[in-house]
Amino acid sequence: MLSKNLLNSTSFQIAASSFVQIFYFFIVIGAVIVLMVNAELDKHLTRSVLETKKILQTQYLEKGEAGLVQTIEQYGQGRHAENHIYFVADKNSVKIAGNLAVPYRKYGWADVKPEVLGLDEELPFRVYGYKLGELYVLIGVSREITEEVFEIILFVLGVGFSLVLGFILLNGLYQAYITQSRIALIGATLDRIAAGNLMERISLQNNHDDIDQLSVKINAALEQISQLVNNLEQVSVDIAHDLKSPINRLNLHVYSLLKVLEYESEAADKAQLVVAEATAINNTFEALLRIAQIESGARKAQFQHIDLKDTLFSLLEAYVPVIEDGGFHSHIDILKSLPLDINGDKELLSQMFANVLANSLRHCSKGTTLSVFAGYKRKGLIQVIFSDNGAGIPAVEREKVFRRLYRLEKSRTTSGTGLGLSLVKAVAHLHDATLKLEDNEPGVKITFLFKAVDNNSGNSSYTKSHKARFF
Amino acid sequence: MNILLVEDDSVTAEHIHKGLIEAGYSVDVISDGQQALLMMAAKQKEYSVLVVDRMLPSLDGLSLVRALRQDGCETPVIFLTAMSGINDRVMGLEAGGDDYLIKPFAFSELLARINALGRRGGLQRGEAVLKVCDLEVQMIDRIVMRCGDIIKVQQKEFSLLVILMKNTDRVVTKAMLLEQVWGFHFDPKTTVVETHISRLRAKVDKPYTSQLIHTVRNIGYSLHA
Repeated sequence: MLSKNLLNSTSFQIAASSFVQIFYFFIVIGAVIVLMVNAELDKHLTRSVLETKKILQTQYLEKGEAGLVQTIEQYGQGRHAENHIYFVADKNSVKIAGNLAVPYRKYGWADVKPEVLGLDEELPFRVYGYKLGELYVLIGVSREITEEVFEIILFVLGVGFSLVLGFILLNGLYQAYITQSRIALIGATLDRIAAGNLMERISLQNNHDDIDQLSVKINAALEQISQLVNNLEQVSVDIAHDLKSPINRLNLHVYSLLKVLEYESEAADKAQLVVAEATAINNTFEALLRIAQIESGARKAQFQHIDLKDTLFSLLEAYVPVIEDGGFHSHIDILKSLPLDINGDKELLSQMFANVLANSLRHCSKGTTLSVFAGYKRKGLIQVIFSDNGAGIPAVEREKVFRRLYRLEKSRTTSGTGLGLSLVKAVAHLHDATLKLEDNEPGVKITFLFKAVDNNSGNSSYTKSHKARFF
Repeated sequence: MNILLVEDDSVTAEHIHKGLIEAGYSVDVISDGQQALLMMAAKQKEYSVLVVDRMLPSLDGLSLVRALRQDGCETPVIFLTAMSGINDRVMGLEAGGDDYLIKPFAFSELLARINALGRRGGLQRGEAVLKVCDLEVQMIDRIVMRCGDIIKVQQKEFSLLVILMKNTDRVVTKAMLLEQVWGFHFDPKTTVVETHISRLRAKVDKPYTSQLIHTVRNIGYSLHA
């Protein structure tokens, strides 16, 4: 996974960007160098030709035509002949001497292809033709000399360019690897923290680079979050002690009172109501505390590999008789043979599903059918659906029912804290499950989507016949 | 049966003390964890059950029970505490507690749990046959019989019946049944226990002249002749 994302890493992108910039830089610098060297070599060739011209001029002035011809004969056959042209012709362009076989007569400077001059070379010649007395003189130098220099320059530039760019590229990949490794470590640490290990911290390299500085800031934020969670836990303990103790004493006093009151007297009934109210108060903040603790994520550290099917069967074994004896109908669609493995907390999941069932039982009228389905939505994704064909929840209130202490207008007269579905949402969120409440047309449909831990078990058919059997 | 109550809240301690005395128990009350440890070192064998609060002065309840278990003390312990966090029960049981009751509590709930724990030692030796009047349960074959009739019961109904029979003449609360039969440590918000007891009664009580499973109002159930 590291190498797969290496090319996308910031370090590599910076290196690649530097590579492109330096590439263009080398192109421009190379072009300038080539142009300058070319101009300089041109000057050198020109100087070389002009010096030869000067020598020939001197020979002509001192020794006449014979001296010129002799010098050209010597040059055209000597060690200077290679890559050089020395040619002299009479006024009718008839060759007198020189190493040029083909007649040529043009004046001034020119770059001439070797085939025009009848030479078996590859590169053009820089030539200068002029009139000396009645004679036509042509002096030239092959550009091979300049090409060789060009080749050396281009080779040096190319090697230097390749080495530098190669180094940049390799360094970029290395830096990307180092950076990605550190980011992967940070990611793994954050995953462990998200899983509930709030004391985990990102390890530092102590080189004060950007990642180290960012890590320091993340660690500081984690410290603060950890402190907040600790504070929350401390508040929970304080509430448990300071608020529950008076309720506990209140209950004990009422129980003492009940002992001296006549059984089933009006006073005893009132005392029982006091106990019931005190219990309701306690249940409300117990539920609030529990939701807060679940939302803190600390429970994730206790997650285990569980089969959701077992959790559901255990729960349904308890609830189906309640459903049937309460005048409702049940429809269970869960394959016994299909493992529904997730990482989770069985107790919290049981309570979550129990709350959903209890909610339907409380709010639906007799005769309603409560359905439970569990299976794979697709490979790696487990779907658990609780639905009923009762009165349902108005569309505008569907999202609100998950809020703490929110109760539908029609439900205010029934028992309940208004926290049951808040706990459902908190437990689902703790398990990274998607929770959706929809209209079942009629009734309510609550869908949970869990990530399966074993993808091999997915995609089993829903149509197998051996579904759950109860009692 | 002697009980050691370790509780720093005087109102709670007084109420429990009085209630247990009235129920026929002998009770010592200590409000400090360290003193409780010393007391147990001196008189360990005299107590049948310990009732321990978790938040105590000088030595907290968890540390107290851990220290007792490390010393080899096997006396059953019930934690009686306001600490009801989702991990607190597990921590209590891991420290060596046998039961965990959360405040505020009904005294009847505490009494039922003390009774169950006090009798546990004898029951755990494992009777193969439980018998109350004409009702008989064969544990190994999982057979329920009354007046010679074999009664077919569901798995959870069998578990319910066994718990009630093991606590004959004593009250078993709904919370105890939820924990022991279904493993629920939360309020099911429905009549799970009542429904299953009703189904069990329909099989083991209704066809016969005498009723054995009795409802104890607002508390739970008791099986007796």
